[in-house]
Amino acid sequence: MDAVFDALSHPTRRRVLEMLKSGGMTAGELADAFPVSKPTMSGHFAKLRNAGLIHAESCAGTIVYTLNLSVVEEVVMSFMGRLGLGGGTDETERMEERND
Amino acid sequence: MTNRVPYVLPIVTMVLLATLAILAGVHAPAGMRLAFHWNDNGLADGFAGAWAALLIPVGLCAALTLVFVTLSRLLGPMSELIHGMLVMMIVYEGMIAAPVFGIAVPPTISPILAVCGLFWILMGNRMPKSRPVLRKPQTIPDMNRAIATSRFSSRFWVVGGIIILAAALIPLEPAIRHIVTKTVLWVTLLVPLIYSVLWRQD
Repeated sequence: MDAVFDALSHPTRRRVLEMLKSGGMTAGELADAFPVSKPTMSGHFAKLRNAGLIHAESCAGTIVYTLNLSVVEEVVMSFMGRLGLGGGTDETERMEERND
Repeated sequence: MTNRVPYVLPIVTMVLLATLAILAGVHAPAGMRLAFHWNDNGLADGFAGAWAALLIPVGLCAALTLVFVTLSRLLGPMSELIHGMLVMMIVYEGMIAAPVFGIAVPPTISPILAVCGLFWILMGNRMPKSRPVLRKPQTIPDMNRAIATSRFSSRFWVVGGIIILAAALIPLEPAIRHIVTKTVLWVTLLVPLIYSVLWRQD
């Protein structure tokens, strides 16, 4: 459950989940919607995937992400979104800053 | 570790159920018949000899464990459903064995229906995590339909489960409890079906 809270604590990852509510999207489509580098987005995808909140499937050479939220996880996500939790940078972005 | 849990807990539960069944079976007076089935009003409508009735939950638990373990290999981990089923079997065994120990369940409540409500909630919560395997890019719309339907259905199942749980524990007239549970069952099954047919990708 810690992995779920950690994954939901960042606004970018919550936005990814919101976008996936309308259907499966490729990694590229999702990455294009955010003003961050591809490695940073990969870090966000990895956190969401490890927490079991998204499902990744390789299809015709591209990775398609789909939503994998239980009802309780979706309620927690809305709650954390309303509270505006995790507005700062997290480990994924700090790693990118260090690399720069 | 996670692969061991689905087997360990059911085995521990089956040992517990078998122990309770043997204890009750030994104490049951000769010729005693026990209820093993209740209708959706919570009234007993199926009876069998004590040993047969007491061993039903043990066999059922083994069969359902096999079903869930097989399903979890196809659809992904579903440990919370397995745990829900195990709780359901313990309550079921307790309901069957209760008369042997002189315990009478008040007719105004229905523990079996309460556990069914709990199971309905767990099923609803888990539902959005099941999906078909994506084989070709052309099947993405079908997968999106399945995901949208399971997300939509899950809320009905969770709310339906809460209503069933409340109907089981609040003292109600059997006829009202019957109407409530039947309505919940039909709504939670039919509305998602209609949603799936009408669903269109934005």
